[in-house]
Amino acid sequence: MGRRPATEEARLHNRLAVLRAERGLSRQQLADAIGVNYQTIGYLERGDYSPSLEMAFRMAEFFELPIEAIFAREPFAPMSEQVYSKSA
Amino acid sequence: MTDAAVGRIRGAPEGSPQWISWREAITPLSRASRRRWVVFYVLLLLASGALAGWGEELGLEGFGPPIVAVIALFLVFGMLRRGTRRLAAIDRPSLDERDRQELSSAFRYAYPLFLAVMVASLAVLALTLPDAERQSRGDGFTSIHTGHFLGDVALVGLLVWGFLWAVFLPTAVLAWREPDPVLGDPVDDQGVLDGPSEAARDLALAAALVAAVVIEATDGYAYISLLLLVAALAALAAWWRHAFGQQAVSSTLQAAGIFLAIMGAALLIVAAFGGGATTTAWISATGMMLVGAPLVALGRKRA
Repeated sequence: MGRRPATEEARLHNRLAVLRAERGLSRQQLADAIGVNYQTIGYLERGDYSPSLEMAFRMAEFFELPIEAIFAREPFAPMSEQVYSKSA
Repeated sequence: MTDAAVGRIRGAPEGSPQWISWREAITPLSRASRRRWVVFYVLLLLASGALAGWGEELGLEGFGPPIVAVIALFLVFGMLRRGTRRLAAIDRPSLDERDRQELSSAFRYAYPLFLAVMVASLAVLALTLPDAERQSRGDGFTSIHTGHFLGDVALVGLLVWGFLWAVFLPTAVLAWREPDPVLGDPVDDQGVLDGPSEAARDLALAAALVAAVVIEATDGYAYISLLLLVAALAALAAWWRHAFGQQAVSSTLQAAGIFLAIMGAALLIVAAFGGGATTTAWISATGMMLVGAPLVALGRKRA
């Protein structure tokens, strides 16, 4: 079972909004694919809710990415920064 | 959450109604609005309890079962249920893991709150009820027990009081804790619409509810209070529809308005030129025009 983050330290950061935008998915479409309510996706993206391990795996399977590419304990660096720092 | 943002929720997939009903018009969407209505419900329930328990002693006309107050309680409870997507409903299907967690937390918080309310209620009863004595006679002796007297009606009232709190508290906790809905999705927010202020809506509705309850309590005329309540709900729904670019009233009501206006105008002409018109005829004609004309105006389709 997931949880409501009690403190900023307990917050699980995620890239859901970026991944969703890349694929042109609405929250409703992602929610339908994962099997959750529409608002839950919004709360996940806003950091109001941290997913259960089971939901995190479902997300990873849906996006075909490793879990650590979607969720992290530390804030993600901007995608552009990562891309350009690797190519430089 | 800004009021404009509240309006945008209407564009979200779950809530993009073709025709905004009065229920949707009064549903508290933001957390601030939900919290306002939780406080209002608590105050209304306390006032209703006081009215039912001590209305007669206070010299109020509307003592006894406060019908309008009970209707107002159900109305506000329904608003909170809709505002929390009816998560606390027992038969609610397809809850996801977050919903189940929030529901579980709501019941966990509601239980001690309910206990506190019941203990406080019993304490107030013990302090305010008149003392009573009961004698029981045995073989050759009579024993006297002292305590408080609670009649049948009061006992039923106490059960209803407990039931209302037990049903309300989980929803109240959910309404208090649930965050603001999430907005700002360029893909989802295709039907972006700016709505009226939730704070203004809440203030208007609360004022109507309080007025209705006070009229019932002081005058004892429940039907005037009910009329006021229905008129307030209809006006709020019309306001909300108007703000979202819809017809403020339905086509049926508009047709009724046209009929009334025509009948009123015809009656006025007859009263003016026919001679021998009674005061009742004048009042009826004017009333028809006054009710019909706004309905015609509100029913016009907006560009």
